[in-house]
Order: sequence, then C-alpha cells, then structure tokens
Amino acid sequence: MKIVLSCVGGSAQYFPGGGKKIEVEARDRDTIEDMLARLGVSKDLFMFAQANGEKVDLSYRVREGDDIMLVSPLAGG
Amino acid sequence: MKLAACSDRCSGCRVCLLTCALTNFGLNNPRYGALSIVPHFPSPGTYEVKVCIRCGACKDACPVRAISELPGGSYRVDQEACTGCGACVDACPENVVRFVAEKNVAFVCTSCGECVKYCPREAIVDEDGEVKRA
Amino acid sequence: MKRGGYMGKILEIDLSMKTSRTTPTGEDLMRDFIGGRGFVAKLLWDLVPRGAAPFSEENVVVIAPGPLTGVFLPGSGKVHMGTKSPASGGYGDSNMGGHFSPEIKCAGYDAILVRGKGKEPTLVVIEDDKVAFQDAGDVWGRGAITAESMLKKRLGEDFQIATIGPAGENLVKFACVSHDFGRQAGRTGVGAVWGWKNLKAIAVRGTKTIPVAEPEKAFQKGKEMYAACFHKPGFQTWTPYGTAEVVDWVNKVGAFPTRNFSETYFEGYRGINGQALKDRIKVTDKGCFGCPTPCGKYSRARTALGEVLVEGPEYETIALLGGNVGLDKIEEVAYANAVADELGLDTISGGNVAAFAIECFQKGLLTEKDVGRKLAWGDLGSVVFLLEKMARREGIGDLLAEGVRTASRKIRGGSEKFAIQVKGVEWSGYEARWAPAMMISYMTCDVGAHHNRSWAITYDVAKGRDTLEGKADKAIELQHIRPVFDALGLCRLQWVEIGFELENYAELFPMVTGMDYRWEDLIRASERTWNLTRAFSAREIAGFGRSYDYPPERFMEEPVPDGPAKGKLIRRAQADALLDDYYAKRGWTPGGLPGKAKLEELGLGYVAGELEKDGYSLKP
Repeated sequence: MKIVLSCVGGSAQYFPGGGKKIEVEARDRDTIEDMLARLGVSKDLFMFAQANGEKVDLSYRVREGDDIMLVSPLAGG
Repeated sequence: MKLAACSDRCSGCRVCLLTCALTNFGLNNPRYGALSIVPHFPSPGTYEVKVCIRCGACKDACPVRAISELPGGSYRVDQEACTGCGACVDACPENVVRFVAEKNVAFVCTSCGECVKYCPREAIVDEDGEVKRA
Repeated sequence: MKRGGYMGKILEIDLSMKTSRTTPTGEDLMRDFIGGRGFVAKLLWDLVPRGAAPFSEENVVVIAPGPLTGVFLPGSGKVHMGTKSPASGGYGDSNMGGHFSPEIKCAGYDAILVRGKGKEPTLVVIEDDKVAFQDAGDVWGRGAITAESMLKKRLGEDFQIATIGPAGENLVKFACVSHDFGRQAGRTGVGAVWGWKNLKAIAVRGTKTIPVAEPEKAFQKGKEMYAACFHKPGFQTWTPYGTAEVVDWVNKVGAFPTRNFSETYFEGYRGINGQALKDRIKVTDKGCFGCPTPCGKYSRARTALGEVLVEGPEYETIALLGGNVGLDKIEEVAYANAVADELGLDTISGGNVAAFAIECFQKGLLTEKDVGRKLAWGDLGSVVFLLEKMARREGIGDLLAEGVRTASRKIRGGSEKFAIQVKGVEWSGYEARWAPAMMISYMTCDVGAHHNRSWAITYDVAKGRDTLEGKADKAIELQHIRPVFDALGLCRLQWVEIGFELENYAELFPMVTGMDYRWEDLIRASERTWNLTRAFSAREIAGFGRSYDYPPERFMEEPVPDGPAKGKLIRRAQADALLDDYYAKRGWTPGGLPGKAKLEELGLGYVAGELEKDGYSLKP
C-alpha cells in the first residue's frame, strides 16, 4: 500500500528527500518503525509522528493512503 | 472587518503592535500599534488583549474634530487637522489610541486587519470572518 | 546605502560614580562582530583589564541586543549578557528572552556596559536618553520575581525590568539574571557579578523607532517569514508542550541525566514529560518579543509543600531538577523551578549541584550533621532545602554555592569524579557517554559544559553512536551556526524546532542593516568570536587549554549501568582523539590554543601577541 512520508525538524537532513514528502510502499501490518528500518533510517531520529494530523508513536500501524509526518527531537535552546 | 480579542490565546509576543506600526506608518516601533497587550504576572499569569471597541470617545474628545467615524464603523484621524494635543489618547478607555512622535499626530485603529493576519496565536480575529491569519 | 538595525550608541554605566555616558557604536565592532554575543566577546576583551577578578570594579558586564532585535521578524527578542565568569574564571555569557532586549534598542542603545560597584544596592532606570541611579534598598533581599513585581508597580507596566535574587546578592557562582517573570540569563554566574556590583535591577523604557535600511522590503520579507512559520508542519505540534516535549525521546535514546548523571534513563520520566505538563499544570503559552512559537509554559502547580505559579518547567529544568534529582512528578519539578526562580538561581547548575550533594550524602561524604538534615533522591524537601541553603550561603550551602568543581575539591573522597562539570560550569541536560558529537560539544563549549553552542545528538544517532568520525567537524559547524543567532539578537528555535530555513535570516540582514553580508560573512564573524572567547579564557586563566576540555571522570571511567546506553562510556583515549581532531580542524594547537595563523586569518593578530606574552605557544 502507498504511504506518504515526510519529516519536520533537525532530523530532516538525515531523511531521504530531506524532509519533503515522499511516497513509499508499505507492507501489510507495517509500523512506522518497520518502514524506517527498511529505508535505513534510525527510528531514534524521531520523537513521534503525526498520522493524518493526529499524534501517534512510532509503533503505529500504517494504513493505505496515510500521510505520516515524522517529528524530530527538539534540538535544544 | 471588525476586530475581536481572544485574550486566552495571547502569548505576549506583540507582533500585532509592530505589524500595525509598520502597516500604517512604515515605522518599526511597537509603541505606535493601536492595540494594548497587558500582561498579568506573576498572577494569574495571562495576557489581556485590548482592541479598539469603536466607542467613539476619541472623536468626542478631539477639540479640533480631527477624528471622524467611517461608514464601516471604525474611526480615522485626519493627520492634517490633528494638532497633536493628545486628548484622544487620554480619553480612550481601552488605552489603544497612540501618539506618533515622528509625525506629531494621533493614531486610532483603522480596522485594516493586518494584526489579524500576523498574530501567530489567532488571539486577534475578525468577527466578520473575512480576514484570517496569513 | 542607508544603515539600519543598529541604534548607533553604546551606553556605559559607572555604578561607582553614578554616572553614565554614551559612545558611538564602532564601525569595526559592527563589521567584524555583528552584535549581541560578538559585541560581548570583543568588548570584554578590550575593556576587562588582564587579570581583573570577576568580583571587582574592573570587571565589566556587557548586555547586548543584536541588529535584528526588536525588528519585525520571528524571534527578535533576545539579549546576550557576558562577563568574566566567577564560575570558570574565564569567558562567561548567557542569553535571555522576554522583552528586555527590544526595549534596550528602543531606548537607543546597541549595548549597555556596566562598570564599577554601587556604594549601596542600586537600581538603574533607563528611559531613552535619561539614566538615573536609584536606591534599591527596599528591593534588595527580595526574590527576583518579587522584586520585578514591585518595580513594575512602582515604575509602570511599560518598563522592562531585569533583576537578581538573593543568590546573586550572595555571590552564588551560578546566580542568574531574571526578567519577565520567568526568563533568565542563567549560566556562568552573571547574576553574581551584578550582585557583587550591588546592582539589583535595571529598568528600561524605550520609545524610539528602530531604523531599517530598506523598510518596505524588510517589512515584506518579515511578513513572508511569519507566514512561512505559520505553515510549517511543526508549527502546530510544537507550541502546546514546549521544550518539555523532548523528555520522552531523550530517555528513549539513553541520554537523560538521572541521579547526578549516574544513569541515563529515568524510570519516572512519564510523570515529568510534556504531556504531564500540558495536562496537569499549564496555564498559558508565554513567549518572547516577536515570537510565533512561544516556548514558555506558564504553570500553576500544587505540591505537599505548597502551590506555585512559574514559567516552566522547561526541558533543562525537567532534566536537572527532575530526573537528575529523582523527582518524578511534574508538580514537584515546577515547585523546585519556582523556588530557584525566586532565589535567582540557575536551574541547570542548581539541579546539578543539588544532585551532587545528594550523592555525597548517599556515599557518606556529607553527613546529616554536615548538611543539617537527611538528603534523598526523589525528595522535593531535600531539593528545596539545598536550593535555599545555596542561595543564602547558609551552612553547607556556602560550599555548594561555589559550584561542584570547587565543592568536590573540598569534600574529596572521590567526589571530584562525579562533579559533573567542565571548566567549573555544571553540565546541562544531555548525558553523552553514548553520543561522541554531543560529548565533544560539551567538552569544547567556550563557557563550560553547556549545550547551547552545539546540539549534536541526532548527528550521533544518524551517523553511528560509537564512531568518532566526523563528530568534531559537526560540533565545529554547529558552534559557528548557532551563535549567529546570539550575534543577531534573535532566537534560533524557529530554525531549530520547526525547520525555518537559515537563508531567510541571510536575506533579511542586508534589508535591515544596509550591510552587504551573506550567510558566510555571518559565519565568519561567528568563527572570529569563537576564537576570541577562547583567547579571553586563555588570557585570564593561567595554563588554559586542553586540560580544561576534558569531561568528568564519571564519563570516562563508569560505564552507563543500565538502560538504552548500558555499558557505554568515553575512554580517555577517545576524548583525546576527539580533541586532537577538533583542534586540528579548527587550526588550533595540540595544546588547545588558537593557532597564530588562524588568528591572523580572522583579523585577530593582536590576540596572538597577547597570548604569546603569557607564554602560550601558538604553533599548530
């Protein structure tokens, strides 16, 4: 199934596409963590995510057409 | 366009004041913004936003009738006629009439709505719903 | 091209003579050092006589906004404050938000210099061109928050006021300057220098317009910048929780200060995270001048010891006065925060020193008789007791007020190994035994163990937490970028937290100032400032250099006992490797001094002469 992934904050520089929205193929029962592992991106680069505007943690199981925004850790004042 | 304040959303940033001063006079000076942000600290720890309530007290106070009411309900200072006496500043019950030193004129809210566009918190809104945050 | 941004004058205040004067803001100062932190560094180098004691009439406090402070763009409310630090004996500075900085600009000044010493407690009142010295006897002794409240009532709400609390008055080495009911210039003991100088408060009221070189262009750009922030995906998520939102993540990666940095994962973190703050205590989102993303969380918290109102707790306070002392309830952290704020104590150092004392007690190095009571982890009473004692230098507080480096040298018994500090400044909220880029950042931060100059943990996560490769380079890169904001007089959180692009600031700078600078020029000035602050410390501390850049022995000898970072530590050889790489990349000597060629390249040849006078070798 197709998922849209993007990220916001300091970890965008380590994300494929540099934080812009990318379309990714997800497998059935994939969590956000599974998808990151497949992309070769450490899940520790993100605090949590927003799935279609709602806050979720990285163990959220994705669904067809989900718009997932990964949120980077706040990078200190 | 009619301003309404949602004080519980205000974070005290005063972007509204600068927006107003820059829009109406091109001057980077928050003291020329025709609104008031009143902090209440340490207790209860909130901000109060005061906007022009169109009461007309400024117009009534002006000794040279330099302030008139516009069709939409807002007020305007005729900068040519204004003598800079400051009576309107003192008369305003909301403390939102300003004196612009560089021009030697008073300034009242013209309901331009620019503060609504740039308030990051939507603490100032357009009651009529026409103008929104940028 | 018309100039803008700068007000053109520096205000010099002489507390001894109760006089003031202004001097024009120097062309070379603006050109080479920009403003804010750059002004602090250069003015301290020029004006503090070599060897002057931090607590002396000759020491200077520099308070500097930047050319973009008070201008119409996101985050334009910051002030940078610096002095010769009583904590480190070298360069010290700290940054503060609120509304103090724009008011200084609107009063007509690019910087305020404070010299001398008041004969009695003094309040300085600045109203545009007028400077008055008032007797502060009735507010001396009052808490920082209470004093501000009293002065607001007396002078009027339209004054912006900075105060010190009892901690500053009592020369606590980590006393802070406070403002706007919850903002502080917290680190390196600037508040203690105010206190020694009998400076209780500065009140500013400014009515002037800030000139802008290209007003229409700058206004348009400013509007675009605000609109861009509003539409950043992170704009909505960030504000409700503020910096507390990162608590969960820092624990997840095993970098959370826990019980005096003995551990790096705090089992009670869910009780002190952003969700706990928002759900249980938050009253208002409170921000600084010009800010679209207010990080301040004004809160009301009830504990067994009483109820408080406080701006906070911010992430650092949750780390150091939360996990680091074992407190697992947000209400209790908020209470400790409020106590520290009123006392005028840096919450970072305060929490770090309190944790040190508790560990000493646990190990029998401090007894109940020494302390005056039992101390325990996770005990609000212990923490509050310690903060009060430190602020008033009572009993054990007199020693603790010196900071952990000095306290551990007196207490001994191995406590020097768990005095978690670098250069005499206590370590802040990120434990780094499994984060080499963050480790070298803390080791080489110019003021001591602070995270502000370089926050690099995600670089470690992205590139591998066990490798040292590229870590020094990353620290150097961030140590140049982040302080650009301190020089411009801006907050960097819009860039750091919601990804607002750096190019925006580069575009706006010439529109406001009329100076044809690009981002590279701002970075250059930042590198120049970095080398100058290092040189200041070298000039003022005999034998300064590499030996001052090591982390505490706990981090080099004790593997993390548990949690996500279990088993990790930084071996001395690795610390050395990081330092070797860092110095080489910076063009510094193996001894950690700026190399002569690097200084000359940056236009700091005169600095080289001064350091060579001290016997330093500047050959890389």
